[in-house]
Amino acid sequence: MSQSNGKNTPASTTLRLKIGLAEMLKGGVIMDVMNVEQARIAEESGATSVMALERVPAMIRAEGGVARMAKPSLIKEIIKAVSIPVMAKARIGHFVEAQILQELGVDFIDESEVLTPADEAHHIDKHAFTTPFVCGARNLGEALRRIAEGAARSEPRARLEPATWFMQCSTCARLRKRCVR
Amino acid sequence: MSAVHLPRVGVLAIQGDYAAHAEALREADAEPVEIRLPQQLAGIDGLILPGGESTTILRFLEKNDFFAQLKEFCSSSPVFGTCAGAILLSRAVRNPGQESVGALDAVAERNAYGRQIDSAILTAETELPGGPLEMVFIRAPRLIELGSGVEGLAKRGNDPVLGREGKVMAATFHPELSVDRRVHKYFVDSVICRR
Repeated sequence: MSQSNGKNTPASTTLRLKIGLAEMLKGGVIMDVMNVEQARIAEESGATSVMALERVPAMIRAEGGVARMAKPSLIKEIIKAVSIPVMAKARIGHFVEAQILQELGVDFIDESEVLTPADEAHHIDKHAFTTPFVCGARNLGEALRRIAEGAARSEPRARLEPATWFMQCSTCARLRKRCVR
Repeated sequence: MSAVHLPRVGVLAIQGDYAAHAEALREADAEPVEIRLPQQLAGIDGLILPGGESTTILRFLEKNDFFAQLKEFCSSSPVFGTCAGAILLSRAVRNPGQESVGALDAVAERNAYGRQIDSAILTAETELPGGPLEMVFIRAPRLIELGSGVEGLAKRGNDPVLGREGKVMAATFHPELSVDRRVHKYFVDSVICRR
């Protein structure tokens, strides 16, 4: 039996639930956190969600090296510490990291260009998961490809130098908006 | 129906899926009004508290005396809370505890059915006319210790998921994410009755 997501577009139950959580996060802030203390501060400050990370993006850019998903022990501690949804990043194309994150009970998986990409050609088949995915995209084409792969939320992002990061993000957001119009 | 006298129903637009509620209200023959400031409460006939993160919404209500004025509004006008909104309307909140408006005589237990992987779309019987109702549960709370004045309108197993106490309505699911507009129409009717 087919179901609808309320906008006359047929969608599976799983996809409707994924988009449902994305709807609930609207108008909120997702805070990057590296430990339980930071997660609690984020929650008390009104964040709608926390992103569990081993290193924040600025540290990854400064220190270099391979950036992977956060340790399962850290993610478990953060899940226990806060009542808001917990997100975590997986490397692009690294479906095993995503499987681990789903098993840990993470509420949203970020297939993120901030981490070291694991696959040059293929992103994760996000339809194969019950946990929703958020993906960055530099333009409408990328956003639509991620959505076709099963992403429930897309964010304007760029792979870039720290000095121009914000400018590139706003350029990217403007470009995406213009494409939608 | 005359389009001139549509009831003006506010949607608390601090954070969450208030846009989906506004659309649902339009489909239920009401005029939605996004409420971001306490003084805007004066111009509406009823109010919906949407889904979202209750801790986030609460944090912003603490500013500009919004919480006190919302409490006042909930004691005198029709209000409807879905999910996070139902938590905010409850008499008390658990798992963990937090402040609430106290307009509904029930205790809300947050994330009572688990995390996002435990979210579900179910269909169940309802007191509303028109047969079974689809219910979208996203990291849903559970309403427990209901007062005798709370009328249950639908259940998930033994748990009440849609309830009404006078002019206060609460749903632990998201009727705004379904196509069926019976729940919103029921609320809009209660707003019209009180005008």
